Amino acid sequence: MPFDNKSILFMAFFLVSLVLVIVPLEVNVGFAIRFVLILIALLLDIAAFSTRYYTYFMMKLFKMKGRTVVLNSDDPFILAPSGNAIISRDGSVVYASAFVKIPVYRSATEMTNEEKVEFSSLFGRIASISKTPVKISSQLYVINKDEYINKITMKLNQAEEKYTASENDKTTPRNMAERIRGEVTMWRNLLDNVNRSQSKALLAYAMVTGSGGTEEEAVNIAVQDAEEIASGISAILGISTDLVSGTELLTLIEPDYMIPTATISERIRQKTMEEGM
Amino acid sequence: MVDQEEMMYLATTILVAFLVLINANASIFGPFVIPVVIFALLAIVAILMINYADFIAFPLFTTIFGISVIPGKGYIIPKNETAIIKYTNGLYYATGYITANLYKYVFTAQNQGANEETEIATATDRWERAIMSINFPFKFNVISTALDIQAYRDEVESRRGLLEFQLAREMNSSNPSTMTINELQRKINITQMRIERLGNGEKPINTLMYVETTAVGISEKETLDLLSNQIAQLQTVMNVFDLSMSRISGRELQMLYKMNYSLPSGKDFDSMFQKQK
Repeated sequence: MPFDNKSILFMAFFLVSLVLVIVPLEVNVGFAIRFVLILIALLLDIAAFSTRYYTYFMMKLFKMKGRTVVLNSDDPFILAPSGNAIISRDGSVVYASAFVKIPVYRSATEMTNEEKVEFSSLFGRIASISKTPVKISSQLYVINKDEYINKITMKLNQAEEKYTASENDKTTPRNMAERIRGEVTMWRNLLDNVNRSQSKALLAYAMVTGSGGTEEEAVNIAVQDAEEIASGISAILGISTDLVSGTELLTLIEPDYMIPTATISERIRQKTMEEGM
Repeated sequence: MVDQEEMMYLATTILVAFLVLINANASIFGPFVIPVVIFALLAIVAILMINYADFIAFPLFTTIFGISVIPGKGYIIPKNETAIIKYTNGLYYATGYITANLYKYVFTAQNQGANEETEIATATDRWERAIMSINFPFKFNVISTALDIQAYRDEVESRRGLLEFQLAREMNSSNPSTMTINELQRKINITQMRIERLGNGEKPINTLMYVETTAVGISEKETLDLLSNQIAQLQTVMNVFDLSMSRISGRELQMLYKMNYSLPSGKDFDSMFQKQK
């Protein structure tokens, strides 16, 4: 067995625990001291066993500040310069993950029983497409209306500013003030309607990971594997598949992209107002 | 199944606790003999719990000591270890995971294909109905990796040989048990089905299935409550698929968080899968 952190930590805890059990039995000390030593030995014994699963946690537990154990203080990932993969690190190993979109345009409602069985077996074949691990996910996410909502909010703010200015300016003609007030109402109604119901979409995708000593190497391996999987899926399902990149890629991994901030904030605001009424 | 490493960890650490137990007498520990026996027994229970139910032991430890974990910049796992929280743009995003182990494969192997087609044909309909009734973002993930066909065939054939030997021994015994014979015959049928499937060109794969959902709110408590509601709803909706669904906590939660960004290698994945067998 190589002497890695796990083995060293186990040996240390185990040996100290064993010594603390044997010493009180052999050396003439008071009952209370024996009891305390045995108690410490048993705690260390439990710690020794815990190293089997929790060495990574224990190493960080020793450096804990306050009551928070920091396993990793870096960003969980960075986007590759090419934009079609994400890069993460574990010690000196660099991992890159690439994603393949699997667009499915058919619904079970329009299939015969034979077609449904055939469709399911095709998905079974996709699952065994790669020798390296592949993650196949089906994700229901909130459609991003952030840009649209931000645009409407900007227009509403501009209209409100114009309305306030016209209220203060006594020379503004009455019909002009009415028109500005109508504009404010229009934008407000539009904003309220945009998020009255949450729009969602379903997306299926496959994810593969490549590892290497450098970012370039890991990204190249991941993208190559992803392209192989993409062509395999295309051949099996008869659809055209693409590697996911940019913001769409973030929708698959970041919760604040899966549920866009402005879209959900507006929904929360409306819900709060409805509950308050 | 207990592997060699597990056996070594269990044997050595439980041995220390046993050493305490066999030496626990009034001449050594005086009035502390009963507490020593109790603590030694508790140590054995703790070791077994860490080994077989660390999803209970680890959250218990972090809850008692009030320890939160930071798995990556911007994310925090609260002390009860059931969710990962990201706080961004004034909103809390809490993500939780549920196991989704599918037992259908074993059932179909037992039934020798009975009703298999109907089950598969209706699965797509049930999936679409489930999606339509879910009103919040979620992901259904399947991580799979193809196994070495020859190695898998050898393993299954040797398992069948062992089962056949056990069956012959049971049948030739002086007092054969019908229940044991039936159980062994059932296991032989399953392994035989697997061998036949391999002969039909089916590739063996390891799979890990889980469901992930994210809740969003303006306070941490509200978001965690929402997440628990979403998880309960998913458990109800996904019940139609004969899935074994339980909420993931502790070490496995941290592992799945890492799998958002990079998948383990085939070898690591196989060892993870071995634990589930």
